[in-house]
Amino acid sequence: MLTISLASSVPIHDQLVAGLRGLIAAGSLGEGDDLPPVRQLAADLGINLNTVARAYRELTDAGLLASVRGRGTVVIATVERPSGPKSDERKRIETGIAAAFSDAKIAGMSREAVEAMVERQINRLWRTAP
Amino acid sequence: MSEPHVTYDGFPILFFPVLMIVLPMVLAAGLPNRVTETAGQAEVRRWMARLGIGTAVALVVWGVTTYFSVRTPGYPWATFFSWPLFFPLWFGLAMPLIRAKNPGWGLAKPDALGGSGAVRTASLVNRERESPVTRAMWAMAIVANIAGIAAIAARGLMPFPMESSAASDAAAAQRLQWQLFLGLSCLGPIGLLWLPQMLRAMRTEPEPMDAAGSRELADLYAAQRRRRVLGMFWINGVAGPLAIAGTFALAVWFPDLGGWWGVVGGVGGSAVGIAGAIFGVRMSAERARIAEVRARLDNATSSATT
Repeated sequence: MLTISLASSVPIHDQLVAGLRGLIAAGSLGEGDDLPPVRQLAADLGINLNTVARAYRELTDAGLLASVRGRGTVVIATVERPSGPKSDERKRIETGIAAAFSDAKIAGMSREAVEAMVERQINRLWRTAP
Repeated sequence: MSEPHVTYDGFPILFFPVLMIVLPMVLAAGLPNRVTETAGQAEVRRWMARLGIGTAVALVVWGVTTYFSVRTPGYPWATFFSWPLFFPLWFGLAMPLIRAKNPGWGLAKPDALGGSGAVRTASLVNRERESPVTRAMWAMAIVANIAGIAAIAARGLMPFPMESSAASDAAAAQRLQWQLFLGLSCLGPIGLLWLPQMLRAMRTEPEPMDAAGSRELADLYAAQRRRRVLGMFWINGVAGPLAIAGTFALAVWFPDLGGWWGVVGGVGGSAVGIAGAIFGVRMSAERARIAEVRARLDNATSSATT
């Protein structure tokens, strides 16, 4: 299931991309899984067709999805194709984590609560890792 | 006034409009009333009364034309053409009544949701690839389509006219009719070429989920989609072409009964059309009920989170 919020300040396109990346990262979508056609997903969510098409395109450019003749859009990888040096990618992720931690502190969360949250996310995404 | 002119085989022409005029009332009144509030009940009663009056007026129109029909040569066609009164009765009165009886009718699209519609959830199942129509069913549809045409085409291998026809121009008339029917029956397989696309489009019709993505709702959608697609397949892929080509085949093989085959074809075609209309209304009512379930689940989720 993919969920978006129209009330959120995050653009719908970004929510779609983040939602699909999240499902791939969590293993809910694996290599070889079909995605619904753009028209179907847009109709179900009641959003513009182009928004879904743009999200699919972005994930295709990232090397996660591909358009396969006779099958539609398919998940082809669960690891993103590197778009630049590895250090840049780490820096981008660390910046994101730093921003999320800052948000947590400003929101008044305790260190223990944040640690529990991080632990939960790690367990969610790496639970099947050896 | 002269003596009545209606012949025995003219009766179906006289009574076909009655069927069409009464049909909206029968279909709309036969649907269960799902309204519980008093205001909604009053609305249903109002539309029911309007439809009743409209149907009565249309029947009076039919009665007047019938009165003159039976006394004027060739006039039965005038009463026959009172059947389009079906359209204002259906679209103007029966559909509003059906909507009034089903409060969830307008909720079938995600845009129709109010505050709870802010969170939207969609299944990631590719419905285009989940067809309930099996290969055996497609084979059956192809056979049904080809069999009718083959039966008409086979008549071309026999001499024209049939032995029973004594008139001098009967051969040309029967050959022309055969060519016309053969051409028209070929429309069935052409329609069959479009059917897979039509069914694919039906499978991707919006199925907005509740915020929590409940299994109950997904199952309701899946069952309804299956019924919708199969119904469309049997009506358009098998029953329709069989009714058309079957009637044509009988008409070219038994030309002496030409008038009766017209009646049989008309009744058969109408039966398929009426079955299609009933099917369409049933499917829309089911969608409305699913929309109600979605609204209920959404409300349950939002009240659980607040």
